[in-house]
Amino acid sequence: MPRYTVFMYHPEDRRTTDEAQLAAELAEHDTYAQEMVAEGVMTFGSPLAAHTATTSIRAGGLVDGPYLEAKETVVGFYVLDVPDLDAAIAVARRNPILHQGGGVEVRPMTA
Amino acid sequence: MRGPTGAPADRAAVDRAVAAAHRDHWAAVLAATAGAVRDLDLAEDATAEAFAQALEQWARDGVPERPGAWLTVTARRRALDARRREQTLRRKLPLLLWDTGGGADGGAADGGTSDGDPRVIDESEVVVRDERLRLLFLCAHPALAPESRVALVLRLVLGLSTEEIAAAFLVPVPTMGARLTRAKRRIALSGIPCRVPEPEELPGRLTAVLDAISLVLAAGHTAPAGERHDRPDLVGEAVRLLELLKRLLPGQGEVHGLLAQALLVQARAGTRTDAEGLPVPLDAQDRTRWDRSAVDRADELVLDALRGGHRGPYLLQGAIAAARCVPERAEDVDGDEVVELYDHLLRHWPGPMVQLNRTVARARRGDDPTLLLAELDGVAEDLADYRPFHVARAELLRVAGREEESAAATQEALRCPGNAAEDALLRRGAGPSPLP
Repeated sequence: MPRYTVFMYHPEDRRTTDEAQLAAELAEHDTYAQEMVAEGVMTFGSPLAAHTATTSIRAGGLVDGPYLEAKETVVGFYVLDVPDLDAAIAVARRNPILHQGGGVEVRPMTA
Repeated sequence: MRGPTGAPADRAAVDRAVAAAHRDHWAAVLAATAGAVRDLDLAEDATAEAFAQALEQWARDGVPERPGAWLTVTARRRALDARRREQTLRRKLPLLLWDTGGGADGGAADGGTSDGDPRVIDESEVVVRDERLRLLFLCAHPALAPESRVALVLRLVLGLSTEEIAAAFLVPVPTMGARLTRAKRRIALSGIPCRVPEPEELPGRLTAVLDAISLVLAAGHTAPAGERHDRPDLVGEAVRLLELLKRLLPGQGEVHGLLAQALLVQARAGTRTDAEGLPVPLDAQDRTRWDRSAVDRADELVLDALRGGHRGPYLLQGAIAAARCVPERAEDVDGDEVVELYDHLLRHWPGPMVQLNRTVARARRGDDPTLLLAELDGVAEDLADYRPFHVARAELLRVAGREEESAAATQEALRCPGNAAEDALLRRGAGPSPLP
């Protein structure tokens, strides 16, 4: 069965600071994750800490920050176990981040 | 040439039979072969080889009674042989995902890879139908770049050569070859499945198929560059694709609409350019030389879909084309009806092109040019590099008596990409209104 990683992107500087709003958004993600587990399509996934917490390593040494500077950063990911790209898209399309100002990237995993 | 197998046929008859089989069976043979080996490249090669083998073998043994079945069996055998031979060398790419339909575990198990699979040998109508339809949906999958979709449809569904496709879109052959290769790799690597969409996905997926076919039709209607104004061969290919789609997927209003548009272009072949090859606007074309039965069929397709309650952008554009072509005299075209249809189109499926075409329809009706020029300003930015926009502006400025500005707009039109026949008409300046 092909596997896909769904990367969730969001503009780092536009995350809401409203506590209630944030809680509501996170609740949507919880529900979505539970749905995927119930459907048996998601094998693993996790939110990621703010990208300011990232440490990058290049040949020259450690860098305090992300490997690539970008306005929109990966804020979480899911690994999907589905028959094909259509099925992966159908699952990824329901990701709540799509109506929270972000987007997702569906990328096949090899072997 | 219909003789029983074993009777040698003459060369010309065999050539004709193979050409006819290529036209009628290419997609079915390729689709069945791809289903068997789950590899588009391998299936494509084997299908081409089967047709080459047919040229030889049919000359020797006579044309088989069912050429499609013969070709399918031959291509499949060749592909499976090649698969066995190259088993260890090939498999750099994942197998094509061939959903066996409906099931929750679709794509997992499939009997189609065994040599003894009877479905293909019997060439059962149902199976063949499904395979071609899924091939069409694969080629026009939304995860592929739009220009790749058109190229794949022409290559895999119609069996056009890379050279022919490159010529259709005026790109170098190596560029088109690379595009096709990239697209097929992407299908394999991304896991784009070869399957017929579920009913709930169908509208969006069908639009992608129609968008690809409409690019073929557009290139046939008005060549995007080159010497000739139109390419009747490409219009013919669009008609073939749409007839196939209509047979495979009946009762779709949008298919009716685009097929009607294509038939109406085809029906007017020969009257769309003058003796020098320069474009003739629709209302100035000799309607007595149009193919009336094709016009009537297009009209019927549109009416049938509208009566069935269908509404959609391709259907409405088909209705507009029919409204302009059905009357036997240009002066009998109901300009108000055409504008109303555009109003409807604009309300539900707005866009700068629709806006431009509506303005042009109002211009043909004789509405106040000053008012229409203001309308055009609203889409000037979006259509800055679109030749018909500047042609329409030049014409409206001319009607409004603003000759100098009109000449400048014509220069703008000439700056935009277009074919040499249009260039010549625009440079000539005078003559019939160049509004399409």
